[in-house]
Amino acid sequence: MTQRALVGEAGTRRLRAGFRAGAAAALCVMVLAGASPAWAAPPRAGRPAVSVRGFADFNYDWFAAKQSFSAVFGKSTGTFVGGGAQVVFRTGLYVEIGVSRFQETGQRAYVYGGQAYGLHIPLTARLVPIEFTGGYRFSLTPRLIVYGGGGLGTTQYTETSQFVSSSQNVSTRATSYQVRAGAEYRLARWVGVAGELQYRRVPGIFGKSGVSQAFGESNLGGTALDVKVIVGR
Amino acid sequence: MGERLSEGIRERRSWRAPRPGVWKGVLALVAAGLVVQGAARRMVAGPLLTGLQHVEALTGLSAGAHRLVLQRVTLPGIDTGLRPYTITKRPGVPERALEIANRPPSTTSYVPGRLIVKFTSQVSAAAGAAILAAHGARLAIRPPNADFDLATIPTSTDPEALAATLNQRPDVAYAQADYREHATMVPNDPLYSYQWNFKKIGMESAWDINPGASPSIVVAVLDTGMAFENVRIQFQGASFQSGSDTYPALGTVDEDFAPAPDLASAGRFVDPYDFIWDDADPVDTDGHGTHVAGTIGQLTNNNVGTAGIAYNVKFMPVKVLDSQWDDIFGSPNQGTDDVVAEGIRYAADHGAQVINMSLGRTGPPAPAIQDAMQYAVSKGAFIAVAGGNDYENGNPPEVLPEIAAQIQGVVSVGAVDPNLNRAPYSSTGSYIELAAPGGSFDNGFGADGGILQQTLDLSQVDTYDLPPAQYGPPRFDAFAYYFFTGTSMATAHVSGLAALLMQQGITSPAAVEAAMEQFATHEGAAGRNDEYGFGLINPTATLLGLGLAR
Repeated sequence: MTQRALVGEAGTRRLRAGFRAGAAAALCVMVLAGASPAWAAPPRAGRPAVSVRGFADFNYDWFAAKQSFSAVFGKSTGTFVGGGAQVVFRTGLYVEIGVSRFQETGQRAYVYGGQAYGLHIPLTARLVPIEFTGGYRFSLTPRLIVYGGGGLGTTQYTETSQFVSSSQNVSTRATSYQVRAGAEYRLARWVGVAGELQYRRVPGIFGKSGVSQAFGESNLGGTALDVKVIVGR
Repeated sequence: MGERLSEGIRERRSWRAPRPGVWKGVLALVAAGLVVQGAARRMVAGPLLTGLQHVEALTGLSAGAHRLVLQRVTLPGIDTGLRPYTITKRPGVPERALEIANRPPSTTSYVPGRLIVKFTSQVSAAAGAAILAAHGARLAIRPPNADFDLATIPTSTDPEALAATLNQRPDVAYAQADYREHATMVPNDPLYSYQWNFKKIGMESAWDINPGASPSIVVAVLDTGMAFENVRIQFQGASFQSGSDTYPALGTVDEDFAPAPDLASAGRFVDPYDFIWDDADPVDTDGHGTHVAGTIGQLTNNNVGTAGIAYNVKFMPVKVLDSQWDDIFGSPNQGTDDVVAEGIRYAADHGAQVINMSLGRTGPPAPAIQDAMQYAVSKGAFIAVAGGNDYENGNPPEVLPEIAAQIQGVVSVGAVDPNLNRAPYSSTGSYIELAAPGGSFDNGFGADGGILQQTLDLSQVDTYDLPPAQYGPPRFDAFAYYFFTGTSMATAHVSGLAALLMQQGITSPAAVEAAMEQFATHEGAAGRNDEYGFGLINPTATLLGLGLAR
């Protein structure tokens, strides 16, 4: 019970605080790997102690830098497509590595008085987050499993514009933090689908210059709805 | 009547002797003293009359004056050329530059699906192919005259990332994405090589981004008029006194006007109006307005003369300043506060997005002009105002720049010389907001230190500078290229850039000013300073604006 309470409270607190210490949460999950929460559904007969699964995911993001993305792309949402692998332990613990990619072409802009003026100069931004997540899975029914977790990763950001010299384009990387919670539905023995809500924070790239600085937006992450197609038990 | 706008800064400049071996004809060097912020330096000492003397002598001539438009004629303007014979068209560059500049925008700086690879000499062709195949690429061709290979990769593969991967291999000398090259636009105008002012502010790369704006942008030039139409006008030339000399009355003279060949094209001029003569024929009887218009938008890449910044815009000629000839012909109005204020409101009401005001005065405040400027900005017009040429005349406060500094969307402009130092004549003060090339004949720059543009052939205009015996009617249908200096010329650069920005998408006058100031190249003392304001305009950086993260 003590362990359960700690994990639950920590996750809630981090969610509210923007999850500034996602890495700590992931480590916490790892430390607790050997323990089995009292309220976790017992492993089903026939489930392996460890299963490795692959997944493809489609991620619809509401970017935190809403004004910046709207100024350049005309919208503050975007789609990430990616995939990854999960290791699921019979105890309910799981760890996951995922990589996804977002690319969009918009236009450079100028911001004055809170208003953005599009400049019709093509700008292409590409985001490639590689994320490590750890968490717990809880079986509500034999087919329905809910889960939650958090972790950290690294996000590669590139920004290229027409007429801008290569040295003035942007290619950088920053540590990212994420928390996520969702539900997985087992369609078949080897196939499942999952929907999850994710919050990703990526500081250190936005807010130092450009449109993002003009709008005072420093988080390249955002909130996302993620749909996963999972192959594996 | 308000204050007369040109007072105190009338100093007519004289001809400059031809540079031996360079100019076929006479390269005239005249600064437009009449209108305010024109020339600053006298190049040849001589018994020159100041404009102020003329004004005093001409007082009283305008009563009951009129002019009569006789007919619309279609005589071509006479381009007296004055080409430097050493200049020839640069072989091979301009057309190609234009072609590339006009390529449809691409979204990547490289060609997708292609990679340039060079293996070390120990790597055989087969081994190279195998290395590439391991990364999903295949060897395509070795171009002639190349020591590298072109590889084909899936278009979904990021060539920069793959190149980075390959570059870590010891058997790869280098790998790179196949980046697009683009030549900077070099206009083919034969006198372009004399336009140091455009090179110094990086106009060539700016033109790559925005080649001369578009006819959807209207720039009003509030000045001495503009050589924009074929018309024959009848005047009455009165006698006048200049110093101790008496110049005879010309009586009735029919003057032919023609559009400047390097400025005019079909449909280029909209809603012209003359507030000096109260009609719709704001012809230039001085040369200043036509010169200023040239810097803003001289026809470019037409194999003629010089280039201009926003060479596709439409012009709205609005005459608010009287010339010597207007005075001699007895124009009913002069360049005063009320006339200028009317001109500003007229330009704004008729859709000008940019208003160039290469004019100004010192003295008491000008609330009528201030209100007009605020009105124009509220209608969406950006205004560029000359910062003043009076530094060497005691540097008195300039009235219109002081107004400009109070209105976001109105910019006062100081001038820099070819070394990008403040021009000696350029006024300084807390109201200077930006700097641009205005040129200088001092400090060894000579005539080439001015801003070159086509305007009226002043040898046939300024006959009142000749002794009375040689004095005769002027010609306004002949044109030549002249170096002028002054904050008038600097102001025209800012107006041209404003036109490019408006066309690029920054439609708010206040935002145009903010962008110019934000991206200006800092000069002089730290922060905004009284000599250069926020710095020298940087058209390329301003047009590029901002990316997401940089």
